Amino acid sequence: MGDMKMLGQRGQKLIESSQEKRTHNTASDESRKSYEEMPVGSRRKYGQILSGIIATILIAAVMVSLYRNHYINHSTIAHYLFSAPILSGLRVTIELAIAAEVVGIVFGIVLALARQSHNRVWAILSWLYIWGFRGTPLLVQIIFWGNIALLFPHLAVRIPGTSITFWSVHTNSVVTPFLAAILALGLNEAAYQAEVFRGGLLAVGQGQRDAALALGMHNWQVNRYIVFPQALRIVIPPTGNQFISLLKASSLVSVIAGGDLLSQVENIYATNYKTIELLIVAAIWYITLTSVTYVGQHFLEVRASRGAPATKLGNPMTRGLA
Amino acid sequence: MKQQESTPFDLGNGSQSLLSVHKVLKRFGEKTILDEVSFEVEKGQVFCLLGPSGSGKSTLLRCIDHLEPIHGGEIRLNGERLGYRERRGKLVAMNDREASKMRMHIGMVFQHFNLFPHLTALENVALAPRQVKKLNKSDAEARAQEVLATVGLAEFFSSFPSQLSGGQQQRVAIARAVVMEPSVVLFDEPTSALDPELVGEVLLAMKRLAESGMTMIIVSHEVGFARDVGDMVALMECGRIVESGPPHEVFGKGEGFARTREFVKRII
Repeated sequence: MGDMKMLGQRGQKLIESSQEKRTHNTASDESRKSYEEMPVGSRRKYGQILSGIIATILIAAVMVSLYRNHYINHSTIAHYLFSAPILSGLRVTIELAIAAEVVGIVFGIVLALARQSHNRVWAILSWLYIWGFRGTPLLVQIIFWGNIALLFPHLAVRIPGTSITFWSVHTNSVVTPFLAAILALGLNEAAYQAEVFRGGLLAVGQGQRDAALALGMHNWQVNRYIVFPQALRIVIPPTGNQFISLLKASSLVSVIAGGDLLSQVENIYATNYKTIELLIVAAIWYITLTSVTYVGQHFLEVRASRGAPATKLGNPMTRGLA
Repeated sequence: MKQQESTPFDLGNGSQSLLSVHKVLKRFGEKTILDEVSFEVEKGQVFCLLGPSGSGKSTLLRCIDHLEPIHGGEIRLNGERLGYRERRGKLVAMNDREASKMRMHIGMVFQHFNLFPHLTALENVALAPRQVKKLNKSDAEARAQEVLATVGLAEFFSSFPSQLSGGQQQRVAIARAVVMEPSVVLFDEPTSALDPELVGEVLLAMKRLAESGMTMIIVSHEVGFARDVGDMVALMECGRIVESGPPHEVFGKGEGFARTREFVKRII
């Protein structure tokens, strides 16, 4: 200390600053060391842990209460889950959904292209169709198709204004409840799919069409090789969404005795009054079908993502949770 | 306009010119975009169009390729009228098939490349030879490989556009246009969307193409390129070509190019 006094103020400052430097150096040395030694950990997510515990307790409580509920007969669920009428209803539901989706996709593509056509008549007709079928309830349309015979009792091919008839049948013998269900679901689905496809077509930029036209392709080739493949990628998620909606909406055809899963379930509980058990049976099958759809959609998305910048599609079931 | 259409257009000494643009008129609504634009391009020439944005350069290229309709005048390639047919004394726009047949002979390179993102570089280039020229698959791919190699992309055949740099993408786009062996290639600001360090490779590919004898019309702000490679330089302002001449005169001591020099001074 005595030496320091002798050095005077300026000298002391120099010493202080050098000490400062030294402490600074050691500090940075230490911190560097600590970086090397300590692995990077993640913050404890206390909120997530807490809410996880609460949610688990709540879900468990609901399960236990359902399990202990004397009004639910579990063996009835097990008994009916794979019974013949339920499996037959399941088959009809799958057939209905697939057939209606095929009608919806094919007719939807036609409607979407017509809507974009330079031909005004096509564009207006397409608009009218979409307006009508989206503007009225699906249930009304289903009941309408189920009762089409009230409007047209006979289907016939004849020359108007004469009595010459080549072919005539009772409408009800042709338009069975199953066909009425496909018509109702499919024609309604087409209106929604048309909008999905229109969105996909619009999402492919004009620059892509210009480039293809400039190469000497004609309109159909531009669509076939350039626009459709790119639009496909865009329309798969909303189409999967539509199909899931359709699977469940197909239960509405039970009002015209469509023979689908819900129709069968209703038939059974109308006689044995096991309403809740049979609705659970139906729910189990519906959620199984939609889950299978998730997986199918995932593989379609992977296939259609050719050339797209790498994206993580993730697990088909838990996408969006990560 | 009607009177001019009825009198046959005198080609004069331009009768041998590859592309002739004569008094082309183009409107968007009330606005006149091209105001009686005329010029000629000889076979093998490199024609450079300069001009401020909004002067109608890009629209002019799009009209030549019939991606936009015109409202007057005519465009001829090898003496044949582009985009329109005469029917009972009237001009009618070509139908889809006629227009696509015509566009086979005109290549186009866009500012934003417009490569097809779902196809590899090779597929981008081979698609038109295969589908438009109806070559078989192996011939189309062999041609595509050849042309891609000439623009220095022999190692990128199976790359998707999203995996390529802007300069590489634009070179694929040039290959895609050239593989069809067009009579003329139109370049619409081919380097404007590129990072500065990638401009050189694209200009080099264009220079090579010019040296191979390709007729080119280039809308660009690359004055150096116009000076070195161009055979003609034209300045467009407000939908008109106001000055044009060979680059050594325009950029040298030639008279009557004050506006071009003024424009060049502003953009450099």
